[in-house]
Amino acid sequence: MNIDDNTIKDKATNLSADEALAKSAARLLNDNAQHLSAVTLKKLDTARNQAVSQLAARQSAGVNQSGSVLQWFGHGSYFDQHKLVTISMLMGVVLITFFVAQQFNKALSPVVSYEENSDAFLLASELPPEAFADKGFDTWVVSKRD
Amino acid sequence: MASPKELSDFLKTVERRAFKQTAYAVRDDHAALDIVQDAMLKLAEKYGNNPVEELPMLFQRILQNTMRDYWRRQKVRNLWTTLLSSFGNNHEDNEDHDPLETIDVEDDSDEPSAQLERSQTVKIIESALEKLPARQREAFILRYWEEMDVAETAKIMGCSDGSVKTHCSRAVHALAVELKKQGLDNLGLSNLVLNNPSS
Repeated sequence: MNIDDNTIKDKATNLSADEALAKSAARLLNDNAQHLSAVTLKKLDTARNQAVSQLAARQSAGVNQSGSVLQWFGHGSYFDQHKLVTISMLMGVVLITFFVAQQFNKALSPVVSYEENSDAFLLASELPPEAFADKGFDTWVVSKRD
Repeated sequence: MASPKELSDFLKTVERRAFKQTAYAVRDDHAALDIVQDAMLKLAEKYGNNPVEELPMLFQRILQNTMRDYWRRQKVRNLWTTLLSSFGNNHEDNEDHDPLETIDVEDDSDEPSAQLERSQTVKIIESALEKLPARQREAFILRYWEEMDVAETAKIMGCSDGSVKTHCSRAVHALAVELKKQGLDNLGLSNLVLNNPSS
């Protein structure tokens, strides 16, 4: 039992000693990494500046994209670059409007006839309501019209 | 969202370490510079809108993936180079080499003997690090150099926490054995770290 305990203890001690060694080695490497040649530092500087300017360009482009509706119009805008698509879209909108207007007109006529048969129409009419219920009255109106 | 200044500050803090880590892995300074540049551009392009706190982990992940891409390309290139080597000319042209360009900017506030000792130790460590298998080196760098925890390291390496612990343990053990072979123990390294004015 004691032997096992000692073995585990030794292993743990070795591991922590190795880890300490590794940490010291990493620190030395880190210190050494701060002393690079002037050429390498210059190249790293250039690379960093490229990355930063790329990000700046992307972010400013993002702001313009969400800027205003006016960017859709004018020279070089989306509509200017896609004329065929724009014309097709406009023609489509006109056709749809025409179709909807026609449908609306058709739907309007039954409403008018419905209004003629409504209670308000009967009550406001010069004739009494019984006149409309009388079948003989219809015949009389037709013969009168002829 | 990270601002350009925040990104710049972050890259300033990691670029030197990233370069050295990549150089240990690919053993070619020019390729290491290209890889670090690629990683920086990818970070700005794809993750520039992420919060600043996420940048260290994302950058390490991109860096490791870019290194893997490099090794894949190298593998294919080496295959063709081997096949076509009989037609090639292997003379290296060193006429354009300028020693001033590669001279290290050393801190001369220290004693020359201590500087020499430290640079020799660093060379031994670098050599030991280069000898490690790629995954062990990756785990060692992320855990001990970048000081990331096991979960973060696992995420970057794309493996389980257990695998990270195994890689780290093996890397540390192999490194310790290699350094002890060269007569370096923990005490010696600690003294060097403590005596280093820049640490």
